[in-house]
Amino acid sequence: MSETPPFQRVLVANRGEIARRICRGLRECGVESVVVYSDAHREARHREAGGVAVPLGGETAAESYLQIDKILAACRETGAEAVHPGYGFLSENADFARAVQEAGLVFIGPDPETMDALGKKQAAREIAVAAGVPVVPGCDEEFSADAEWQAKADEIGYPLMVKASAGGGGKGMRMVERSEDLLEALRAGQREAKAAFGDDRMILERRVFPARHIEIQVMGDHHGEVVSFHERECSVQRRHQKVLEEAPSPAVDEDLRQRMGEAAVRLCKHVGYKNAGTVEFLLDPDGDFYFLEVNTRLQVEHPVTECVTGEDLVHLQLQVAAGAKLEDLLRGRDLTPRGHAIEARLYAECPENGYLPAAGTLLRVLEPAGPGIRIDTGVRSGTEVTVHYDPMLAKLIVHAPDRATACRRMLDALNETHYLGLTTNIDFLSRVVADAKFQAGDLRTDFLDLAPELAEGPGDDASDAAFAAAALAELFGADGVSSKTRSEPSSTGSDSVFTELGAMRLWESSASEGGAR
Amino acid sequence: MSVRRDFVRDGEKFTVSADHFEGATRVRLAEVEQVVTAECTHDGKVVFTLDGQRHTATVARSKDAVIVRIDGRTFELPLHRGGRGGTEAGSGDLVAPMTGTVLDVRSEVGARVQKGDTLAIVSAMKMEHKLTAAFDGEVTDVGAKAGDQVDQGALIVRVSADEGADA
Repeated sequence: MSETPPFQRVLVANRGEIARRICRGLRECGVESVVVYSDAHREARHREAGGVAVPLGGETAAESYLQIDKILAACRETGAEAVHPGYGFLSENADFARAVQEAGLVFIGPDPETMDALGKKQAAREIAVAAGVPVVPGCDEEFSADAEWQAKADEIGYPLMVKASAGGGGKGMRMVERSEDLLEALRAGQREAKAAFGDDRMILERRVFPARHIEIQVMGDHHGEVVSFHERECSVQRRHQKVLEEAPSPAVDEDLRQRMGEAAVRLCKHVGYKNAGTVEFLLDPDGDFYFLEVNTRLQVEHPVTECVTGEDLVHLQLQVAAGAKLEDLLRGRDLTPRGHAIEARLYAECPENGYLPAAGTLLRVLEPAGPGIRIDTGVRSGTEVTVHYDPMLAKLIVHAPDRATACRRMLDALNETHYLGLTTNIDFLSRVVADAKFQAGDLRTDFLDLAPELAEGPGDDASDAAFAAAALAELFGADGVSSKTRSEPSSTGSDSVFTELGAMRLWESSASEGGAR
Repeated sequence: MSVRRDFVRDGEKFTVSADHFEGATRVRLAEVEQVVTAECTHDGKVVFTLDGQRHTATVARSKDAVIVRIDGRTFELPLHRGGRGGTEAGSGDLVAPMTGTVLDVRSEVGARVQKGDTLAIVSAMKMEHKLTAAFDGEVTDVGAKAGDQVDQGALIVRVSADEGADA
């Protein structure tokens, strides 16, 4: 790391755990930080993370963090020279990156042209093909004769997917397992697509299944260099939302790591990629991989890569954005993965009830600490979780010498994570990590669909011990009720029941202010 | 000193009490009392031994339940409310299941409704939740209109059951 700070002052256009994590990186690089916040986040933890905090007004993200003009005004007001967009919000918005550059500021991320090109599915696929990176075998030509469709499909191989060009929502989509079923599926798909989109053009695509989701972390500098920071596996997903991520992947050996890393670097060099990015692939059971898309930002799951490579990706983002060469930044560094890291995303949601998001106030937060445990959090006791924002509360990351130890460490750390007051997925995460298939590293993208019992939970009732704990906590004053609302315990045992009953009446009448339920 | 709480367990009132007197901590679950070893850590965890097993728990109290995280699992223990409101089935009060936006209210005071009728739709976290009548009856109160932002538990529609209806 160079001695000179890459910037004097940087604005962080985000919230929650990632805003705090970026501010930490800025401080470590000797850079002053500016944070922004909406009206909903006046009391939020990230508001205190920066040297300066600028209110954006507005309750929702659309009224605040997504307002390009407001973010730029905050930069002008505070003299920030660069903007770090984090993930989500404006991070992959090329218009925002362009507006930042046009205002004479530095956007910490790739060029807007690169974001435009990689943001469109078909264009990104063409870039991958041009860079010699494997894509899911398929065809988007139109044929008039059945025999031509049949020949093309047979060439792609089965099972394959028939998809509507105009696509979306699964309409017109069919899986075809045998050559003889192709034409029937094609006709049905065309009819459905015509009805849904007024367009009956169809695409044929090989079904890569079962598949693992493997992604390569890359970093590009402004001098044409792109470096691979190796893979992460993010196969454990629900409804395309990642739940657990890890590095390295249990399915990737040194040879495959080299080949996937080279493919990702080739693709990124082809478009002159700058700053942090992630190239996502599907990996099939034969060890063949296929390009999916490029995420042109720092990812939620970047900490597992930091753990196993020993690098700080935010530091590198700042340095390359200021023009430093990766060759200099990484001189003498060994990026070979060391040990094993797992990240669990802690959400305010109820997996036991269809992953229904939860809102409310966190009454009590206790987080784990210890060797190899990192928690990137945006909340604390008293934080109000609203429906206006993403329900991710924090990320729990563990790093251990090997995968089995990392699993045990994660289970232990989850046990020590207490987020009381609203429903979270913590118990669910424990069930997944304790699952035999997970522990064996036997992962695929439909892992959770194949084991619905992991989401449903045991459904058993609270034990005697849970009731005893409730009473003991109250006895010790450890139930999070402030002393103002609690009756003062009496020094003698005899009349304490009466004061307690008095307090109960008081408390019940205040509870009924909430209205009839 | 002592504490006592009434919970709902298996649909019935379940009374739990604890006291600390002359150096001994006792817990009484329903009518069974036992002496336990218990302590509270500086960060508010309760560590205790019950039936020879050691447990670690954290506890927080919400409006109508006590939340207990014990040995890596989380439970919500509903408080017993002396017969009023709360969790009994077939309540005529349709409340917002989560904080969100009311999309539609399909009833007005005085309207006749049948069991299963959709009376309102609330949108929260991009999901729509239908609020349906639990029994035949008459709408006696409407607490929100389309477009309103409502908190979790806010009354949207109240239905009073017909005389003799299966409520």
